[in-house]
Amino acid sequence: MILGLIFLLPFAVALNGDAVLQATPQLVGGLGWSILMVSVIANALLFTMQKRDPLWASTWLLLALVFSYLQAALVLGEPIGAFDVIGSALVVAGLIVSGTIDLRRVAVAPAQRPPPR
Amino acid sequence: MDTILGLLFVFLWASASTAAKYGFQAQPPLTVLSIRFAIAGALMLAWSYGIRRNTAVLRGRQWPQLAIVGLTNSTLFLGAAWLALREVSVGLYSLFLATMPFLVAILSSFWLSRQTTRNEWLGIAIAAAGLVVVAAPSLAASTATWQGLSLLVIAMLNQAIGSDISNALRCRCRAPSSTPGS
Repeated sequence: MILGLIFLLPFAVALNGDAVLQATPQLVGGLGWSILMVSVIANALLFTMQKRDPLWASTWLLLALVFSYLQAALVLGEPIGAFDVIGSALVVAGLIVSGTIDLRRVAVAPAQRPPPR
Repeated sequence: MDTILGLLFVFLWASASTAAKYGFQAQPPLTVLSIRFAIAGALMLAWSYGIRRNTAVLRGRQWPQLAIVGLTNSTLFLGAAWLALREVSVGLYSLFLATMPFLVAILSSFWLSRQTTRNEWLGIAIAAAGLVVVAAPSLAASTATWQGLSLLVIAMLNQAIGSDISNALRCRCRAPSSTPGS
């Protein structure tokens, strides 16, 4: 992650080099949650669970999608429309048809880490 | 117990995009991301090498491997994804990310000559239709931009290619800073 920062800094400076940092509630809240709850706690949980059961992560991804929609609606006030529900259902159906997500958890495709958050 | 831990994990994992977007109200994405990398990276280094002291120091060829993971997983993926997140809704963002396994499957059928089954193609077609159903109205209503969608796709391509490269290199480096998502 430190290496990631070193690669990222030139882009960050080029785009927002003149930004003035102020510890607003949004910055402290968003950053604090990202660092503590996601980078540290969620990653540790993922590591522990996958060590116990390598096939574990894929089925839970379904739920991550639902949580994302609900959290964004509650915290940011983003609306959830009919198109969102229909499209999400299609994506989930596609994941099930392809065998990426196996509800019976038999012969699941090789475990993949979910994309970083 | 596993179910509770699972629920907690998914809740926290999913919350990353909402938390990030909440932070964007104060500062641009790459600024927030830089600060996050700095603090979280320092915390993990301190934990692994200062408190637990159970992580081997990297040597020789592990450094370039770690550099590739850092560049693809941390810098390019999260950098592009967070820039995209400013332009699209959290739901749309999460929906696109959920289709990552398809991208990995398609790409590895190109260069790892892995066979893509008929069911996989069917699933890909259904999911692609789902993405269009969500993305098209958002673009029309300007709650998403083409720029944001393109950045999101670039981020996913980079991530899929990066995971193929590290698989090819058999990257077994498990330094704290190589953890994706961190």
